[in-house]
Order: sequence, then C-alpha cells, then structure tokens
Amino acid sequence: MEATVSAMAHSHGITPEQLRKDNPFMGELAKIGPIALVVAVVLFAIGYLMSGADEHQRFFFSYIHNYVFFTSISIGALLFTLVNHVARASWSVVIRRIPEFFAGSLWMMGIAGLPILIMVLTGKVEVYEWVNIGSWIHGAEQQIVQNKEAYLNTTFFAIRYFIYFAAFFLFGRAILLNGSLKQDNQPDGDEKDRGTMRMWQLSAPGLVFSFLLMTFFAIDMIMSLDPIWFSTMFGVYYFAGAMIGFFSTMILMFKWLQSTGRLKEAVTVEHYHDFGKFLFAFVFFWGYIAFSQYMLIWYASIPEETRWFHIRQNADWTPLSWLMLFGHFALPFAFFISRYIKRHNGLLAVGAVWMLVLHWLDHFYQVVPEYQRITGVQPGGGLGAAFDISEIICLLAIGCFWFGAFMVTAGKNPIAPLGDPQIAKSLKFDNVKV
Amino acid sequence: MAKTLTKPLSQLSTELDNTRDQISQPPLVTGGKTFGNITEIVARVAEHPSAPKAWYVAFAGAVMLFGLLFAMLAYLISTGVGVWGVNTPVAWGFAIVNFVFWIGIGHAGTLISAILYLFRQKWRTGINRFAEAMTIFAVFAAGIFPLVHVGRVWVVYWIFPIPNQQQLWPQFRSPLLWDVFAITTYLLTSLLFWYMGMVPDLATFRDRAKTKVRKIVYGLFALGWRGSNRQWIHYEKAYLLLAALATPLVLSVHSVVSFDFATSQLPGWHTTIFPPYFVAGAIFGGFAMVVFLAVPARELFGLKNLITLQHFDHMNKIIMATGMIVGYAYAMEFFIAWYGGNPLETFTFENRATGPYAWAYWIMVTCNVFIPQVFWFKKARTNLWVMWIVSVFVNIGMWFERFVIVVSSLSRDFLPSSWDYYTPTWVDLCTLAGSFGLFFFFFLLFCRYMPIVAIAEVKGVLPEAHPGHGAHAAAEAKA
Repeated sequence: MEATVSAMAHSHGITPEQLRKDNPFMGELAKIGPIALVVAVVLFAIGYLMSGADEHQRFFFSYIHNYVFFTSISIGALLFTLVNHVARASWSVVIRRIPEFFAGSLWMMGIAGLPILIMVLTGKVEVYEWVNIGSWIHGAEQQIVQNKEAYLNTTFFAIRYFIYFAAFFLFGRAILLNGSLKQDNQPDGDEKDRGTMRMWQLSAPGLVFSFLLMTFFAIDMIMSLDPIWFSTMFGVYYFAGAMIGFFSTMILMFKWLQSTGRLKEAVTVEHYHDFGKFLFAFVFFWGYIAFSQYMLIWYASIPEETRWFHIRQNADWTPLSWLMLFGHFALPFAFFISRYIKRHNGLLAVGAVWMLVLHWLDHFYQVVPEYQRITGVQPGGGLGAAFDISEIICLLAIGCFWFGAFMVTAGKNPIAPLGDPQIAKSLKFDNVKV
Repeated sequence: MAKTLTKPLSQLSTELDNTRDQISQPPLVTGGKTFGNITEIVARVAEHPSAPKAWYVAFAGAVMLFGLLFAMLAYLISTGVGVWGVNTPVAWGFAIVNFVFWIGIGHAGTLISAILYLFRQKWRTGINRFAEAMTIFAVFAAGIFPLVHVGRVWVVYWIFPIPNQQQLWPQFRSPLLWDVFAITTYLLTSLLFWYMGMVPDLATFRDRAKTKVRKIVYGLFALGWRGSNRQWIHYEKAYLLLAALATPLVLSVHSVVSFDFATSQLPGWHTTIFPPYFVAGAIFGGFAMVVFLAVPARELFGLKNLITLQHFDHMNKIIMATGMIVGYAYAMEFFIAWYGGNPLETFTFENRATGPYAWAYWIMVTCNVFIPQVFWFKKARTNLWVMWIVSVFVNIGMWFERFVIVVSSLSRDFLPSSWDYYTPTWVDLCTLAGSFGLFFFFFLLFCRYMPIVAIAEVKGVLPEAHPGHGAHAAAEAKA
C-alpha cells in the first residue's frame, strides 16, 4: 500500500523550484555544530583524566576503536560521492549533499585523531607495540617486527597520517564539496556544466587514491595493533564495514532531517529503498569478505595468521565472534532482503540502527582484543568485563566531534545540491519506472 | 578531453561525448531505428541464406582447431598425462592455467546479465545476449581441463557423490570438490538465464520463419511463447529472480576457484585477498573477451546501431576499473609479502619479479596494469582499433596471470633440491589452441543461428517503450 501511495504522490516528483521551498537548509539546527564540538572536547578531557590509572592505555584502545568507527562512515561517504560522479549517477543527486558534507568534513577527523598521533610520537603508552620494539616486544617476535621497521616507525606513521588527511581534504572538501556548493547559485549554462564535468573527471583518480589511502589507513590504525599479524584482505574488509556504516547513517540522517520538516517532498521512499538495497548488498559483501578472510586463515592454519582469530574466538570473546556471524551477517541478510522492509521507513531505520551498533561492535572486535593480548589481562568475567566505561565516553566524545564537524561544514549551505545540472532529473527518480 | 570542455554544450550533445550525454540521456540505439527495424537487423543475421565471407573463414579455422583439440585429447587419454610438460614440483601446469583462464572469461556474461540488470544499467541490453553465450562456451572449454587432468577420465564421475560399489566418497574438505559444485551450478544457471532470456526472441524467429525446419526447431525452443501480457509478467518476474540468484554466483564461482590455491600453505597461493581479486580479474578478462568479439561482430553483422561506441565506452571503463582492482591486489600481495615478514613469502614474490619466470610476470603486469591505462583517454575508449588491441593484450595478460600464480609458485617449492623449470610440450600448446577452437566453434554457430542481440530487451530501452513518451509526455510538458 505504501508503494501505491508514494507512487501517487511522487510519480512525477517535484521541480527544482519546489525543492527550493522544501526547506533545504539546516537553519536553526546548524547551531548544534559548534556546541557538539565543545562537548566533544569536554568529554575527551573527562575521559582522559578519568583514565590515568593505567597510563591511559585502556582509554586509547577505546579511543582508536571509536575513532576508526566514525572515520569509516565519512570515508564511506567520500567513496560514495566519488563513485556516483564516476558513474555519472543522476538518481543520487538530490541526496548527494549529505555525503558531500561528510566527505567535506572528513579532513577534520584528522584533528580528532591527533591524540592517537601524539600518543604514537611520544611513545609513552603501550598501544602500538612497534612504537617501542626494543622494550615492548620480546623474543622471536622482536626480530620479525624489526624487519618491518621501514614501514612501522613513528616518523613514517606521522607522514602517512598527514598524507591521508591532506588527500581527504583535497578530494572531499576542495574538489567535491566546494565544487558542488559553487553550483548552488550559479546560473544554468556551460560554466556550471563544466563544474560537473570537472568533478566527474577528477573523481576517477580520486576514487583510486582514496581507496588506496583508506587501505593503508586501516592497516596503520587497526592492523598494526598486532604488528605480527597481516592479511591482504584487510583494506577491503574495512571498506565493506565503512559502506555499511555509511548507508545506515544516511537512512537515519534523512529520517531525522525529514522529521524536522526538511526535504520532505524531495527525498522519497524511492531513495530509502535504494539505501536499503545498498545496505543489503554491503551486508552481503561484508559477509563474503569476512568469510573469505576467516576461512582461508582457518583452513591454512598458519600460526602468525591464526593468532588474530585465536584470541577473538576463545574465552570471553567467543560470543562476539558468533554475534559477528549472525548479527552482522545472517540476520540482517534475511531482514534487508524484503522489499517491504526496504520501503518501510520505520523498519528500515530499525535495521539501520542495528547495523550501526553491529558495525561499532565489529570495530570493537577488531581493536580491543589487542588490549588483552598486550596486557595479558583476562577479563574473566565474560564479554561484559571487556567493556570499559571509556568506550562510552569515547563514543560520545568522538561522535560529538564527528557530528559537530558535519554540522559546521553544513552551516548555512543548502542540504541538497540545488543547482546541480541533473537535479531536475534526479527529483523524478522512481524505482518502479526504471 | 580538454577539448570537449571548451565547447558549448549544444554542440557537445551531437558528438559522442559520454560526459555531456549523460545529462541529456543519449539514445542507446542510434540511427533513429524503430521496433520493426531492430527485429529486422537482428533476425536478418540468422535468416540470410549465407553468412558473411569472414564468418566461413573463421568457422573453418575454428573447426580445424576444434579437431586439433579432439586429437590432442585422444592422444593424451590413450598415452597418459606424461605427454604434458607437468613435472615435480609443477604438477599443475597448463591444464589448471587454461581452466582458470576460461572460467574467468565466463564471468562477464553473468555480470552483464545479472548485476548490471539489478543496477538498471540499460546499456547492457545491446551486449548481454552474446556475452551470456560466450559465458557458456567458455565454461565448456574450462570444464575439459580438470576432467582430463584427473588422469583416468573414464572414472571422472567419482567426483560426484554417487553411491558406488567401492564405497568411494568424495573428499568434501577439498576445494577442488567445491569447484565441481560451484561450476556446475554456474553453468546450469547461466544456461537457464541465457535460454530464458532468449525465449521471446526465439518466438520472433519462429514467427518469421519461412522453412518448415526452421518453424519446427525455433517453435520447439520458443516453448509456445505468444507474448501475451500475462506471459510477460511471469517472464519479467522470473528474469529478476534469476538475476538476483545469479548475482552471488558471479562472486562464488571464481572465489571457489581461488580457494583451490588460497586454502593451501604455498607461498604465492595462500593470501586472503584471493577471492575478490580473482573475481575482479575474471570480470576484467571476461569484458576484454566481450570487446574482442563484439568489435568484429558488429562490423560483420551490421549491428552498429545496436552496439554503439557508447557501449564500448562503458565496457572499456569497466575493463580499466577492474584492471586497477587487479593491480591493487598485485600491490597488496607484494606489500604484505614484505610486511608479513615470512621469508618464504618474501622469496616467492622476489622470485616472481626477478626469477626464472620474471618474463611471464612482467608480461602479466604490463598487459593487465599498464596497457589498460590508455582508457583514461576517451579517444582510446571509443577507438575500435585501440580497444581491440587492448582487449587482446588483456586476454594475454590474464592468461599469464594464472600462469604466474600456478607455475612460478610451484616451481620453487620449499625444498630447493626439487626445484624445476616447467616448459609446456607441443601437446600442451596444441590443447590450448584447441580450446580456442571449441570456444569459437560454438560461438560462431551461435552468431549464425541464434538471436545474437536481445531484440525484446533492446526495444525496451527505446524511448518509445516508456509510458512517458509521446502524447502523455507532451501533455505533461504542457501542464
């Protein structure tokens, strides 16, 4: 029934003029931005000061976990925007500004990550063992990590960190967001079309570089927490999760914006349906990648590879491993396969919240067991004991920063690309007709 | 590229410029063809009493090579696997290389028919039919190699879990057995998909048939298709469901093929990125084969208005994109071989790039990573000669990729005293050539007697086929 209603209401879509009247601005909401940034700093200070007992060691694991989680969503937004330009997509134009804001604020996650960078450069807290090979790594492993020093050293880590966020600024902010904002009030014509073509052309190399940078970002931030372990699939695994986080965020973001009376006519059930389809596809893709990585390591059973999974599927962590299989893959696979659910605003949002929680837990699963490995601390009290209050504080702190960065970037700008040459076509988008 | 930017848009849309065209929705069928014209263009190929001369020449060549394949297989089976160049430690020589190569070629068809269908990529309609046909013939060619490589081909049915007197039961823990199931499923689904999509077109052929034989044969295969509204509704639903079911197959088949290697502990074979890397490589090689066949086919059979330069532009972009995914995998393998710190792994990769098979490695890298970079330029993507030559190189490169993986890793195994250099024998080379004969034999027959372009589907992407076209759209524009 919902489909019929939407078909009646939107079969011809709205015009670009009507879009301008569809409340396409953050308006009052933009005030959240600076407030969120301040709250983020305060929460960070509280979390940091509270965690002094173990030299902030556990705190930094929480921090890295939440940092890679929120950054992955923005990286997903950057890749989504790039690939839509590469494919010359028109359906996504009307919803493209939100990913553009995330992509355009991705460079600010470079600021949020500074505590990690400083922690690495000062070398006082034992989180990344390769920072201090001499005293943090022992026995035969010392020589193995020594051989990787050309890559795993603090200076090169810092250089790479700078390159990642400089490139993310270049593609996300300077090329994509600024290029799109410029068109908002530009009169139709060659000049504007050239802007679109420029974005199309630069997005192809942008996609290649961003994917590579994302891979090494994931290797640096997560994989090198265990300096012995390696997997050629790791970048792809991070990518699969990032896209799940991104599409879930998009669903919730638009639901929230529409509930505040914004873009109520422009964004229709058709767009939610497509987010749902993408989410379904990436749930499947994530399952495929996670299975392939796990199965190949399990099958070959080479100690330096199995060690990563060995921690994660034994003792306290066992339930989390099962949760990844069933909660992150099997259950949502069955859930999102339904067309009814993908076109049902409320159910889709429930699914999106679930996937965000599971994506967060996936990063928890990737990061925090390394704390146990390094410290040798057996939580002992089941999975609950592996949690720490700093997880929640970091979730809120980095979440506020990430969201604040998004809102500050949005500011007074329209939240739909009002002047995109393809906007009229995009507003007519309908899954049934195509 | 820079040139087009300086031109006013009104002029650009008249040229073949993809960037501008996407805004103005260029027609996928050029030359102002009507529904009737499209039927005529495609049906003419099969109805004409004689094929183009080039077809006979190609067919004669294919028959000879196909015959060569039979001769080689007869020689092999009557003599033994010793006629091949396989040795210890390179027990998997040409047979597995050719097998993976042909399976890879078979990927583009299902990608085009299933995944591009789900993505609503209408340009697929011009090329999906013969890409699907190609898939099936490539799987035929691929299937031969593992069958004959088992040695005693007459007991090859043992690979299926059929109860038998000796109580033999297949080893389900072996990825080679998973292959049996993955590939037969893939072949059956592809065959079904190809055939089902062809039913409305076969009915068209039946209705146009002039001779009794044609009427009966096409009529038999058209399954009583009348084109009623109800039939179309069922057809479209079945097609969508098959597309959805075939999509995971695109991933699964080559992933399972990659497991043959990656589940082992052999350096150069065991690496976690293998499944998606093999899938991307398969699509890469498969699309190259589509371009390789489509360029001459559209010339020979007068399909220029149905398979336009824009179709090639899209395909070449996919070739470049998947080529770069393959390049990404090569780079990750190399990086992790060093980063992983396993001396055996590091040696294997050093050996690949500088050892006795370095020549094969560099052919692979050049053909797969460097040469497709010409497709950054629109001129190259829309130049038939350039793309045809690139497609040849990509096919060579993808064949060598499998050669590098199989041979270079095996020839330098853990025990230096058992190292050996693998050289194919004349039987290996003739069998490879013969497999091309099999492929082209079926493909050329298909071109001659079947609807080589999906007539009904191409009509569906004409603007006239949409409710928004004509009177309705005009009324809307007024309102």
